[in-house]
Amino acid sequence: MVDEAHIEKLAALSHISLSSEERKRLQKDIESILSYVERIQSVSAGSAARLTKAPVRTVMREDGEPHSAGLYTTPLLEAAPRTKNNFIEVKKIIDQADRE
Amino acid sequence: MMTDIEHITIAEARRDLDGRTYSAMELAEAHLSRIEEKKGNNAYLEVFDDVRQQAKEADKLVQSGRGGILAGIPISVKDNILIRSRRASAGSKMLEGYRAPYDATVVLKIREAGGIFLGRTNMDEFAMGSSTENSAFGVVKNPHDEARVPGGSSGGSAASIALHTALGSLGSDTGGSIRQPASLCGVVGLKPTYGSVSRYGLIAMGSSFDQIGPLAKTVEDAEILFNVIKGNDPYDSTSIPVKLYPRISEMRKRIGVPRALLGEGIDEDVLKNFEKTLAALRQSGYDVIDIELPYAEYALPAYYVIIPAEVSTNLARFDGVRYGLHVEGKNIAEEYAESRSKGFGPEVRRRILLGTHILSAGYYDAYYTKAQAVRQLISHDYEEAFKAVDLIATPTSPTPAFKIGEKTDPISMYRSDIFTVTANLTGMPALSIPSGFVEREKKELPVGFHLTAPMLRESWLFAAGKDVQASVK
Repeated sequence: MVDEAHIEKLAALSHISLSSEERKRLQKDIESILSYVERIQSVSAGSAARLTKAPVRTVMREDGEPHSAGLYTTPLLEAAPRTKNNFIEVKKIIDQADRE
Repeated sequence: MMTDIEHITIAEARRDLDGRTYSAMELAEAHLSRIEEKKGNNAYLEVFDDVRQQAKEADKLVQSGRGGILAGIPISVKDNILIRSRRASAGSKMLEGYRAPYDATVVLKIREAGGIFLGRTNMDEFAMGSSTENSAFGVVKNPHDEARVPGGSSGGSAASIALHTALGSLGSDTGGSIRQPASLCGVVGLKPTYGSVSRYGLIAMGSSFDQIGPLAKTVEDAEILFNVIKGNDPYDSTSIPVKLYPRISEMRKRIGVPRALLGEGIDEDVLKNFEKTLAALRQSGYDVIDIELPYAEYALPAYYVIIPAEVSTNLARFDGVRYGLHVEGKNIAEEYAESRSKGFGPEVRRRILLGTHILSAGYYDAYYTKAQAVRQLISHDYEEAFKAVDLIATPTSPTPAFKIGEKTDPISMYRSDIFTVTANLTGMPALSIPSGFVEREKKELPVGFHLTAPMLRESWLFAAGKDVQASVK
């Protein structure tokens, strides 16, 4: 059961703020989508476990030849909303109260 | 002399440009004025200011005889594929004004082949949708009936071809986003094999599904574009290494039809059109065989579990700090939340929240793990079926183009993808080919015929696609 409090929790986890109207609408939508996708529960998981062939695997590469430092700094910083001395500037994450 | 651009394909333009029937500049000018004429359809979000400059360069190349296969060919590009120093917004307020710091690999390849970039095409926000109604910059109007949607999410790309405002287009397909709009606009659309075309420079939505592919007027043109953009790319770790490509045998002209999927919810006229196309293929020497895909009925629900999960993780990167929209707040948490809330539209927010739910402890196994198991079972179904047939046919979309504003609840919109999501779940290549028209309110609306092939058998899709094309003419 997805209630409005749960939607609020998901919104907080996703860093999205919702109006109470949107919270109500999303509660309805998400419940109806979940009840639609619910039908996959009728498939027995055992049937898949018998298929051993993994379709994808992780491909690793040597971290051998990094590009020279600073090569992409300017174009990347140009996209950032706030910069200072060649760094991206963000608000303080830990404030005084947290440290005490 | 520049003839009527409505009847020019990439293949013909190549011949005409090389034969000096007209210049790249004339071809570009013809497209620019056509774009201006068809502005009201809202297919383009931006027309580039250097098209004539590009055409001038292309003419020089053609004259020197050093031009690539696309030298002077005007191409449109979906707004989620990066072109260096150009804006790329993925149809979202979140990236309004963002400029790409580099070229996507596909863009680089088209550039090297001499292609001319006309502009960026409209799309559902972050490629989430089947109608372009989720674009932050307004819906695209279907070229065949302006009261209807062009399909989505690559609706602007499909409309740009159907309106004859580009000879080719690049789109992206996560659950049908190239093929469904191709079907609804009456053009050809290919979702290549997962890993056959680099996604470097594509704004990610569902990374286990996303593929870039071509939209064009004919199967031959789609093939030309695919051959330019395909290939291994060290910048995309999911692209298939050359040594893993198998030797492709000849197609044996056997087409499987999963009859059980062609029931409820499929428009009657669409089904009639589908049967007519099958009959024409029999005439051209194909064996048409009924097949079973026992788990295929779970494809759409499995897809709509996995996709929000991938969306919620992929779109976590949009935080208002490194790029994109930034909204001031009193602390960092408020800045994240305000930037994301102002930047993302309703469908994107819905999928992020749903994905967050699906991936949370306690639900993960019931939804995500289960959906991945179903995904494997579906792939297995297809592999088994492909032992007896070479291609699997269905309609591309269960209905012709629907009206703007007609589908108000998310599930009815999601059902538009019922035949297309499977190719994304399995990674297999699939092609939508125009197969005629159905009449709605005295308007002729196009219908698409959908073929799926085993991994890396795009050549079989092109061969059969040309036969479908010939049978419709």
